[in-house]
Amino acid sequence: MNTRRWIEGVALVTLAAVFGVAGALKLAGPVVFADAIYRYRLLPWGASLVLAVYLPWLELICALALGIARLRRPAVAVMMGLCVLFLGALIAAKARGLELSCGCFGGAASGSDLGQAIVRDVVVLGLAIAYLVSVGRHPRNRA
Amino acid sequence: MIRGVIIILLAAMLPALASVALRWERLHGAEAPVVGITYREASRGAVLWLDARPAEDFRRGHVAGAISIADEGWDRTLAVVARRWTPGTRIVVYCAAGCDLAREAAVRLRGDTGLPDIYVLEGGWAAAAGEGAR
Repeated sequence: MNTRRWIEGVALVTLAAVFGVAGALKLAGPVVFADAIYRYRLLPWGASLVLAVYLPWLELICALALGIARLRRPAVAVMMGLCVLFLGALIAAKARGLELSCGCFGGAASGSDLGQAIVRDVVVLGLAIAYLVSVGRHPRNRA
Repeated sequence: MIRGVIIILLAAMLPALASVALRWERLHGAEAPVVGITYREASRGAVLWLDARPAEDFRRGHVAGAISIADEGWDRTLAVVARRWTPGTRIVVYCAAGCDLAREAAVRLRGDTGLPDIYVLEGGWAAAAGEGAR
């Protein structure tokens, strides 16, 4: 297995695990997740609820889509977009000195260290970018 | 690529809609939580302070300009809030650090007034006093 394939494999497995687990955990408690979103003070309560119902399914569908060759690149692209979105919210919260649970994996169980969540998000974003760049350089692998 | 992205975005909508339909009552009845705010952040803009501690504690020290709910009583507190609140003003309720009085008062105030920007002071009076709020 060459380096390129190794990077792509690690990126796909990690993205599937992170988004799959995050989506599945949040599915169980949409109100708890809406609470976590609302505490960022970026969205009104109604919009937080809508996002709390939609986002977990989107994360889960993205994780599952990685198993379908034709949807692999679009799924990673959506994951990348989500990472950018989450990163923006986390940085905004950190900059305003908010003390809150990141909500990355649902409610309070996610912990309150925003710095740690930012690092985790940057790593996941990096993996998504690495995958897309790697696949993009080798047109034969594009699905 | 774009087609694939759209397929994924739409595919997630179907179970989300089904989930809303199944849990409609729970989601519809869910109330927004009362959010905490730090003393520094609250002090940056226009703020109306409400002290939810017992009257004796209020007399010993309070945030400058705060209204004592215990002293005023609930109805008069509501009247003062109605008189002093203007759009953009945050209402911040506090009690001693680690007490639930502020949260209860904030929830009740939101129910009675319907105002959106009602917060609970993180760390309560202890945090405000530490920041020189007397």
